[in-house]
Amino acid sequence: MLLKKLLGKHILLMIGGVALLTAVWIVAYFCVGNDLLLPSFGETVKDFFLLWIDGAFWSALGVTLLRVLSAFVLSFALAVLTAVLSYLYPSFRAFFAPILAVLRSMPVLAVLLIILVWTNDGVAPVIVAFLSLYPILYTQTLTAICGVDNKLLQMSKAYRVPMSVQITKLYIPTVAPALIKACGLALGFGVKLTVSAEVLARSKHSLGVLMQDARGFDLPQLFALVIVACVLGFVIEYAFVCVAERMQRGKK
Amino acid sequence: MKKLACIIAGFTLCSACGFVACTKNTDITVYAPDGAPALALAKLLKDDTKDDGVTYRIVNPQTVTTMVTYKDENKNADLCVLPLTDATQYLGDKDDYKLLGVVTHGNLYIISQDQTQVTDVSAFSGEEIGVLQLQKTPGQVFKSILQKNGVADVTLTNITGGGEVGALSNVKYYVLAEPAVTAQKGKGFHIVGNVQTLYGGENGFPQAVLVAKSSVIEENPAFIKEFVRDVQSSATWLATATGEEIVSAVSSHTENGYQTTLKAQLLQPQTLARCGVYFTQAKDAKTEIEGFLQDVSAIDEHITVIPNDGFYCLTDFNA
Repeated sequence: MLLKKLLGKHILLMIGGVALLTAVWIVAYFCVGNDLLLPSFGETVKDFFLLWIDGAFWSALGVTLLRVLSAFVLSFALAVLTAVLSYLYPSFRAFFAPILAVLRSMPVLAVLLIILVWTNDGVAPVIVAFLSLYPILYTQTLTAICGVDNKLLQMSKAYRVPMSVQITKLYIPTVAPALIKACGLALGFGVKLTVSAEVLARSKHSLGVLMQDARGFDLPQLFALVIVACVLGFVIEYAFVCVAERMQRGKK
Repeated sequence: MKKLACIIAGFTLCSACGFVACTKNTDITVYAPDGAPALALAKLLKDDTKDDGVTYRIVNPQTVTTMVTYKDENKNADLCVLPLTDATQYLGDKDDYKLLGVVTHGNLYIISQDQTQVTDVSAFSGEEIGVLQLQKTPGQVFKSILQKNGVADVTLTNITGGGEVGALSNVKYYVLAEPAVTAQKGKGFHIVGNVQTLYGGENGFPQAVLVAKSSVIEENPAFIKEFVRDVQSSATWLATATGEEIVSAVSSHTENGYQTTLKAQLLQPQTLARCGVYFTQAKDAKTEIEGFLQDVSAIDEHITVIPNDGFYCLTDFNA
């Protein structure tokens, strides 16, 4: 009952999905028949749990999460600012459109190689994550702001409701659920992107470099680290989506 | 009609399976990783013909060990050149394979844009050093050198190849393998140290080894003897071969579209001499191998298998 409350009514289906993935892994393991190509599910699960009692893992996890959070905060702050400007000033939106198009289509992991030359392996993943998250957050924020009911806005103007009240009582409650959901998606994506950038950049004391080190000799640990990154991204995203849905239900 | 179609389909399928089974390749398979170990087989690759009963494959160094670790032994290579530490780790406590000998004895060099030669390991104190494959033999050997000389305050950073040389800030020295070392001379790097000499072994250290399935050794003793002698003569042939001949031999035996990293213009006699390619039989290399494994197991917790005598094929192939 608690699980159903926490994870929603589709909990059984979700467990079924995980069970299917596990079954595919086990079948593939027996088909491949080579532990150096595909490790066993059991060994990987064992390594997954062993990671959580390893101090070096916690240190690396902390550093990676700090990078994700840094990139997210920067992206979010700039996204809200520029989305508000785009909403208020159509000329700004038009001016900003080509810049946004470049940011959206940029192959960020390739650009990482350039960024590494200009900065270092610690900062580069943050910049790469920022370049990817910002366009997503900007678009979602602007869409959310534009989604405010026009009739309510007209009514506010007609009754000369102060702007501060419009912002706190109209804009924020309307925009918040969608924005929280977008933040969850962005953070989940940010985890994957930051870890990928850390792997390429060999950022010290990070989940990425732990994966690089495990690649040479410990495939179960490598798979376990990948699962950690997936679980982390999923948990963050799901938590934000749950909060957003509760807010929307509360409004109704 | 439907029944007839099913019977025909079933018969066709069975025939196809039977045909595939009958035409299964029964050649002896030999796998080796690209780079210096491939040089050890270069003459055999050059002289290889389609109907000699031997299939050679040069593969990405990162995948060569997977060629001997399949649970289905029919999928495993009959003979394989692979890093010594991988050979002992994955095969050393089993009876499936035996070690025939060492094919490369160290091809690691320290390079820097500073031309000052490094003769004392203490020169690395306080430095950050880029090391090729830090988790594998090159890293293990270098860590062993630092430990033996009591040099602790060194930061080691993993690099995967010559492409990263010069890209890391704060790194003054790089440990890299020939022939990639020669490629760095064009970037202003100089060889300032010899890892083999610093390790202290008279003949370098056992880096890559040749293993063979125990069943193949038992069933084909004459072939194994001739093969080992050919590997010995291949090392001698390298001294007179041109870079083009070597690269042509290697690249014509790569698998699945893999492109060899060997470049003809880099395979000059001095470079080939620095690759440490010569064959030592297991019976002559056993003591050196055991000493090397003891050294690396002292600094690398992942080296856990010191093979017993049964892993070494102690036949004298020169008798």
